[in-house]
Order: sequence, then C-alpha cells, then structure tokens
Amino acid sequence: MSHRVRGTSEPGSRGRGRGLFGALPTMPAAGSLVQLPAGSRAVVQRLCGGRELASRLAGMGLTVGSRLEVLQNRRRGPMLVRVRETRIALGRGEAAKILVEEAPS
Amino acid sequence: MSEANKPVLVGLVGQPNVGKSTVFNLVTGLSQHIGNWPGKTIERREGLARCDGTSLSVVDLPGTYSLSSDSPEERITRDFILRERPDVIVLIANAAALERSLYLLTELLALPAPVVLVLNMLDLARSEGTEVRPAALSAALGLPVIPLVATRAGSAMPVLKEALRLAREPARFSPGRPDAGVPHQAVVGQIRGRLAGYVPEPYEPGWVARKLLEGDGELLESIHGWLPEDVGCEIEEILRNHEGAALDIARSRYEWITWRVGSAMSRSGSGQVSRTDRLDRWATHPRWGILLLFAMSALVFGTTFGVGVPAQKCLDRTAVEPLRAWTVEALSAGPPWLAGLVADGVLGGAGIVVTFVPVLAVFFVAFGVLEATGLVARAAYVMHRFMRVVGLPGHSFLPLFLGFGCNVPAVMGARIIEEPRGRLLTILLAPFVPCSARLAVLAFLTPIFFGRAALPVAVGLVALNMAVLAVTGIALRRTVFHGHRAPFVMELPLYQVPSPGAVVRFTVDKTLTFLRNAGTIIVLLSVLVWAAAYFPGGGLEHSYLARIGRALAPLGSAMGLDWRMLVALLAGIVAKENAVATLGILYTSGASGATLADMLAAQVTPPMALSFLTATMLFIPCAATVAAMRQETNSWLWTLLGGVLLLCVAMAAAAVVYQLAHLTEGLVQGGLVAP
Repeated sequence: MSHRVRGTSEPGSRGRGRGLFGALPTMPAAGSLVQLPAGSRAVVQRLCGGRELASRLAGMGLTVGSRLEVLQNRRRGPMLVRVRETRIALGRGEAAKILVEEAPS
Repeated sequence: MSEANKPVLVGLVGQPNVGKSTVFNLVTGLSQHIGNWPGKTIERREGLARCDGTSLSVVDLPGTYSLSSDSPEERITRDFILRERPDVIVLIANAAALERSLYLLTELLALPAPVVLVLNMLDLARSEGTEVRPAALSAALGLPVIPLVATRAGSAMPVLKEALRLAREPARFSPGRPDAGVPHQAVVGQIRGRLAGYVPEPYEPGWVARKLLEGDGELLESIHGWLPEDVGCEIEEILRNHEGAALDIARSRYEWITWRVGSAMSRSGSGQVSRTDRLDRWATHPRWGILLLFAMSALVFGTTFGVGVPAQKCLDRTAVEPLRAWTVEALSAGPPWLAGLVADGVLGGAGIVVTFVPVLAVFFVAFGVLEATGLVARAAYVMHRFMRVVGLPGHSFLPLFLGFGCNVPAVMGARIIEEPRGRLLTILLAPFVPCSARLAVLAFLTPIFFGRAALPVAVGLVALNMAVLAVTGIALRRTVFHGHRAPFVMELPLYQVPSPGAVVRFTVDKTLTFLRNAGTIIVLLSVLVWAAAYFPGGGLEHSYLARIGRALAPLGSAMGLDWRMLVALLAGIVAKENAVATLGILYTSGASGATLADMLAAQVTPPMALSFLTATMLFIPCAATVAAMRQETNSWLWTLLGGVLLLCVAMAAAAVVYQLAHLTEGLVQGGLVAP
C-alpha cells in the first residue's frame, strides 16, 4: 500500500492519456496482458510477478509506464509483444502477471 | 608511461543479440584465448589488440540485459567490473533497439569505469525506420559514441582509439548520471547511512544501497556478513517497507534514456511493415512455424550427415586405418600387447576423436548460421508449449532433434538454453535420443533377430526411446529439478544476414574446444576398455571385462542377458559399433566357419534380443557424448550422475521389456503350440 501512496507524490509523467494517479488504486481499468488480442496497444500499469520477473522485463524494455503492442496471442502457448522496438516472447503465466490498460493506437 | 608494459584492460559489454562477438572478433583478430569463468560453464573470451603502440587486453563479457544478480552472466559482468577494475568499458548498443540497449548503460554508469558506447547495427535500424545520430547522442549522454557496422569488415580502430584515450585520461569522462534522478533518494540515503563503514572493497555504499533497494539477492545475503545483526535487521525493515521501489527505479531509468535519446533519434515511416514482421508471420505461426522448424532441422541434419559422414568415412579410410595398420606392423617385433594398446586402445580412441571433426564442423556451421539469422529463437518460441509438457524449455527442441544424428552436438547445442536447470536437464536427456550410430546397430541386429518383423521392432524401439525421454524428463522435473522455474521471457531478435567470418569463427572455436576437452577423455576411456578386454589373458574371453560380465550375470538374468551381452554393452561405452564387434568375437568363438548372424539367431531368443536392443538404445551412447557432457556441465559429478541415470533407466527398461516379452511369448506359444 505504501508505495502506491508514495507514487502519487512523484514528479514525472506516467504515460500519455492518463492524467490522474489517484485513479490507480481503482484497479478495474487495468486488465491482464493475456486477455488482449493481437493488434491491441496498451500501457503497462503494474507488474505482479515478483522481483526477478520485473528485473528481467526491465532489461528487455518492459517497465511500468511503457507502451506495448500485442503481436501475437493465441489461446495456447506463449504470446508475443513489441515494446521499445523489441519483440518479447512471454509465457502465458508471465503475461498474466502484467497488468495493462488498453490505449488507443 | 610508467605502466607502459601493462596492457590496458578493456571490458566488452552488451545485451544479447547486439553483435557483440562480431565486434570482439573485429577488435582482437586471431589473438584470442577461450576458457571458462572460474567455476562456471560460461565461456570467457579474451583477446589482444594493438592501437597506437599500446596493447589492449580485451575481455568479452557474457551478454546480459541488466546488472542484477539473477543470472550468472549478470554476476560475472558486474564482478569483473568491480574486482578486475577494467580501465575502460566498451558497451555495444543495438541502434535498432536503442532505448532498450541503453538500459545497461544506466547500470554501468553507476560502476567505477569509463564507458565508450559503440553504436552497432545502424543499417538494420535504418531499414526498420529508425535514424540515430551518433554525434547528437554523444552530446546528449556526455560520453563518446562510435558508429559501427560490425557485419561489414570495417575497421575497429576508432573504437580502440577512443577506448585508449578514455583509459589514459579517465578524468575526461563526465557523463550524465541517471542515478541522480532515481526516485527514493531519501531511502537510498537511509540505507547508505547504515552501510557506511561496513561495506568492504570493492563495493561502494551508495551503489550497494541502490542495488539493495532494487532487491538484489546476492548483496542482500552479503550484507549480513558485513553488518552487525541489528543494522542488518534495520536495513531489511526499510527494504520491506519499500518493496515496490525496484519498479520505480527501472521506470526512472527509461525516463532518463527517453529524455536523453529523444534529440538524437528520429523514426520515419512507422506503420510500415518491417522485414522482421513479414518473416515472423510465417516463422512464429503455430503451424507454419513448426513446419519451417522441421524443414530447418532437416536441413541441418541433411548437411551434417550428407557432408559430414562421408568426410568422416573418408578420413577413417585414408588416415586412421592406414596409421593403425602401420603401427601394428611397426610394433610387431615388440610384445603383442603393445601393438594392441597403441593400435586399438590409443589410436582407436584418437580415431574416434579425429573422425568426429567433420561431423561437428558441418553441424556447427549450420547451427551458427541459423542462430545468427535469429531463427533459433523462433524455433524456441513455437516449440515452447510442446517442450514444456516434458519439463524442458522451447530452446531444447533443436539440440534434441539433432541428437538423432549424433548426441555430441545435441549435448553441445544445449548451451543455447539460457536457464541453467533447463540446460542441465537437456544435457542429461540428450543421450536418450537414438543417434545414427545406435540406429545403425539397430538396423544391423534387428533383421538377424527378427527377420521380417525387423522394421516394426526397430520402429517400436525408437518410439520407446522417445517415450523414455519424455517420462524421464517429467520425472526429473518433478523430483530433482523441482521448484523454482525461471520465467519464460525471451527476446526475438531482428532477422539478420549472418556474417561468414563470424560463422567460421564460431565453428573453429567450438570444434577446437571439443577436441581439446574431449580428446583426452575419449582416448583414456578407449584405452581403459581396451585394457579391460585384453588383460590378463590376451583374449577377450578370459579378460577382466569378461570376468566383470560373468560377475554381473545374476543381475543380467533379470533382463534376460547373458554375460556376453553384458560385456558387449560395456564395450559399447566407447562407441556403439564396438558392441557389435564384441558380440562377434564372443558368439563366434569356438565355432569355426559360423557367422555372427547364424550364431545369434541360434542362441538368442526373441525376448533376450529385445532386451539387449533396449539396453543398447538407452545406455551410454559413446565416449564422445560422455566427454561432451563433461565439457558442457563443467562437472564430473553431473557427468557421473548422467551416466548412472542412463545405466539405471537402461536396466529397468530392459528388464521390463524382457519380462513382458517372455510372458507374451509364453502365452503365444501356449496358445499356438498347444496340441
């Protein structure tokens, strides 16, 4: 809880098209990445998979606030997203832990 | 000039798929030394370069996305910078994914070494619609930026010159400091204050504090050794209250990068479909991708065995055999065991080593090309969900598939698997893939034993091998390899045309490394088995090996194997062909004029034959595979455990097959032959 509150006092912008940080605790706006069909674009809202996953994703360009595009998402098997000019394959379990909000392209 | 004799130490750093090894080859030329990092299975490559009369020692650090402590690659890189204190770091960045490449820079700038940024793949970036201006980037970041098209034979001189300049005048290095803007400065200050005075060299308290806040596992363990207990607990308390800080820090680094890079980069024609996107429509498609993968594997397979095997046979005929014949003649005056030792033991083993060269070389060329193009990553992506079922990562498919040709490249190919457990599991399971040598034994023996039923029996045995591989994989993943699984997150790099120089380099390196590491082991094992089969009597039937076989006979009876078959299995450890040769000696001795086929058909019942073939197919494939396992695991213990696993599985499977076959035979005979 504490870090969300702290987040509101931070300077800097959290992506375009989303003004209020105060809206963040009301989660329903953010869905899991696995639910997004191919072709959709979204902004990452939260990473729930623990530190190791977050650290790996950060190294490949995926952090809270980054915009991504779903390149491939079939019902089974890993999915493919593009973030910061990098194509990243994600297991479904991993993708489920990435909460995003769809953003118009 | 006082340190003129000491070469300038340069660390080459970069994320995976940025063309780092190509730059390394370009910089160091032929003066390379390849070893392993102490206690690790990761290669350490080091080379010498000269520039303006000064020599530079260049260390190629393992490719890594960031500098946390989650993977051995990351730990090696940061430990190198902290402990070996390189004079300068050369960071290779991929211009086609610049922001992401610079994430590593934000981490490097927190460490005590000046950094030269090499901008690679500018042509690729352009074809993807991204234009990067090196001069503007240099101004924005406050550090030297050198553009390079590493796939072209351009000179690496500007890189070396800049590195040397920075190494000589480190004071000139004054880059922007991304960590100054990192959030939670107050918390970092609190932790740092508590660490002050306790942190040993070469660590710096500020860096340790920030890394702790990022949740660095290795440092979290270390500080308990450094700090009094109460201080350690205080720090843990602070960290517990700021668990989400790592996410904020990562985000702020990218904000820093975006802010700096914006003026140096422009994107044009976004929305146009790039070459990689077009190719990926096929290569990552769940059906077409798998089809492409099979075509790819067939191609590697075909070239390896279409070119490699004839070359192997030719080498055997023109070099190894004449040499052996010559040795036998030259040593004919000496004691008979000497000629046997040299010709059969030593040269037998050396022959195996030498004749492996063409197969391995062709395999590595094919594999190197596929990896450099980016296709191997796609193969892993489309196979992931299938391999997952047997507890293996998607990357393991290609090496395992190639195991049908030869298990040695299968074991060596496992190094494309990043996750250590997945890599180890693949190495342990690779010998269950029936290689061509075993398939040859199968093709030779099944007609003798089963006549017209040979084909279904052979197919059944191959299927049994695959089933055993799957079951063993699942069993190991649930027991020994149980627990934490590394997250499946993988980059699919942009497609590239491989550089011939890099592929040749890769092939030569890998083949030589195998020869060096495996040569001794193969020859020793060959000599050992030869000696056991020769002494003390001078003939196989009265040898130690035969005695071992007879001593194991009670054990063999559960599998329906007599001592001669056990001896053949043991002899087959060196090379599977030896198993047939041994059977030939043991079954035809005393029966002059009879062929092996006659004797086997007369003395071996179908259940016995099935059991023997099952054991042959599942037991240790050959000395070279053992040597490859030793090289890739860098551990005799794992090699031994792998051998024991094969032994146990082979024995168990043979016993089950024998008992079932025996039972079935009894039933069939009972039903058919009954009066």
